[in-house]
Amino acid sequence: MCSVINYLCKYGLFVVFVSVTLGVAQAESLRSGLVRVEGVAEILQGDLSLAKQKALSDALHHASLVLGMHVMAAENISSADMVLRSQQVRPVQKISGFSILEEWASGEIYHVVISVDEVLDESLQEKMSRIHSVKKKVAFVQFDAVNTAQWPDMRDIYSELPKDILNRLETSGGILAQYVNGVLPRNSEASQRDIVMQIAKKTGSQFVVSGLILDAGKHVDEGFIESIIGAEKRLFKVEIVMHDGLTGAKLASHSFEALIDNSIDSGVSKHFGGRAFFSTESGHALNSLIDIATKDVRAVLSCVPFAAQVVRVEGNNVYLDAGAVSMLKVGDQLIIYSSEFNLPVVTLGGAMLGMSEHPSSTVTLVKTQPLFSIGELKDDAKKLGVKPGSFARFEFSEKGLYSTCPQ
Amino acid sequence: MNHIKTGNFSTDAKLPGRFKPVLCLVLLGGLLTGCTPPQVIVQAPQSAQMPTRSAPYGDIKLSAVGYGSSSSFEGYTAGQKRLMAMRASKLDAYRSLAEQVQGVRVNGNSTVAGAMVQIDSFRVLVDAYLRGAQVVSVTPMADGNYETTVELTLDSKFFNSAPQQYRDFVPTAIVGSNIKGAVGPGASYGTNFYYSE
Repeated sequence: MCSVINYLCKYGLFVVFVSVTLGVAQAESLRSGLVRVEGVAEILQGDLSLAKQKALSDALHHASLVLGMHVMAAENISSADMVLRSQQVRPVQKISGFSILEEWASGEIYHVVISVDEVLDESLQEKMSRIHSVKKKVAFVQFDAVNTAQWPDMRDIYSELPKDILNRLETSGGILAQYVNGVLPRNSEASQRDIVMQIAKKTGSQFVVSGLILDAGKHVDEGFIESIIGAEKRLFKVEIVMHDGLTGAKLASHSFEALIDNSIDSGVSKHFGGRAFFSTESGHALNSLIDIATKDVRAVLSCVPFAAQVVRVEGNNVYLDAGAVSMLKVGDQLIIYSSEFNLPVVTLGGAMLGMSEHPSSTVTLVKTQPLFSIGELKDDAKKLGVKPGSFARFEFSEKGLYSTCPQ
Repeated sequence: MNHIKTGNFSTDAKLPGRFKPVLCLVLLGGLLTGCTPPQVIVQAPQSAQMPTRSAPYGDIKLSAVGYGSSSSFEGYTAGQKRLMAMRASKLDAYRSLAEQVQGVRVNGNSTVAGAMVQIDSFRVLVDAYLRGAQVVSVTPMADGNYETTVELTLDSKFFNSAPQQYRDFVPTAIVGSNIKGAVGPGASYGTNFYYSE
């Protein structure tokens, strides 16, 4: 501790009051972009290099927070004296240059003091748009078609169109998507809901996206000259439906269309989605359509808060089926919802409407691994009614609290 | 805001403290001059009567305290649990600071049945960007819990860059004299599928 104070004095920085003997990340100065921060980590099994790496990562994390952070939090407070909170704090500033000023070990703790010398020069909007707070899991099912005879030149469009959308969604961040074979039934909404929930449960997805190719036929323009010369156009019309996997409910259903002046077939030999396909006139039009549809799907899904499922319960620890790959971080807080009764709510006709649920506890993440995370409850899970199948959610979406969402 | 009408003072009108000595001087001057003809008082334009707000504030230091409880996760050693508690208290302090700087949105929800409030609940929402928040102290408490204090210094640039409606409001609230509340329409909030607001 003394060495830290000597160090601060030596460099003419104002002395911060530190009342803890255990090392802790401290922002010591913020003058014209320069930040000095101390990071700490525990030395496990005498492994100094690992401890140094962790302490450095801790220092960089805290330095980024000092340079700019986005805080989102929501507290539910009820008359029953229950305060539940969900919260996430994300660094916004990217550090492009730093140097290690000092490092030492005291007892079981390794300390690293760094100085941030350079940061990425970006506007606030650029910084904020780069943040993908969490990645939601989405399952895309095979698309259906009203008239399959209209697609002799693009036989694999049913599977390749959704795959192309999911690839673009993943590339732009914020989504973890997977493709599922099989189509949703079109005749009954109730059976559609059932299958959506089954797919979501099987794939661990929060959302299920389906599609229907409404039209791909050739049309002749109305008019005397057009009818004589037979100027054909081809219309692509696709409806994309986004479902909530937890309840099976339809979130949004949007249709997109593209008109192609020259309706020459793309050619059976050209694989849908390949470079050769997209270089054709049909491919070019579909490329733009896919781009617009991708942005729309993203806009709808980003308005719904992130949710993960509880897959295991041990005392007051719960295991969630989302982890570091989903961008969850240690320290994140989510609210756990449990079903009140074991029986689902059904319509008079017997169709399932979902489970009645209630918020039961706040969970704070204490460990994240690539595909799962471990959270801590304030009490025993059984006492709180938390069990496998319960859901943990943020109470806000990554669009923030001030954005308008498409309906 | 009190509007001061020259030449037509009412005893009911509450004058801001800084106008009182001026008024005394004017009255004293009037007594001393005695027989001077009455002065014609010209009604000043409304805007000229408003107190000016040119850079009335210097640096303002905001501080917030956060708490973190010791983890009971068995997979961690005692040292890791301590570090976890510190981290939790730090994040809590940042949230608390964000609430102060950006403000919160409160959604209330009451269920009334038989003229009795059955369930009364509300949600407090925070969405803020912070820069320059610094950890001032991390203090161990009983039972392995930690208390963290963070600080953020806001200078005049912060207020000057704020939209006009906030500039009018913020100083009175922070200076602490003549504190006034401000109510405005909420920004267009994102819909939360799981909650019907």
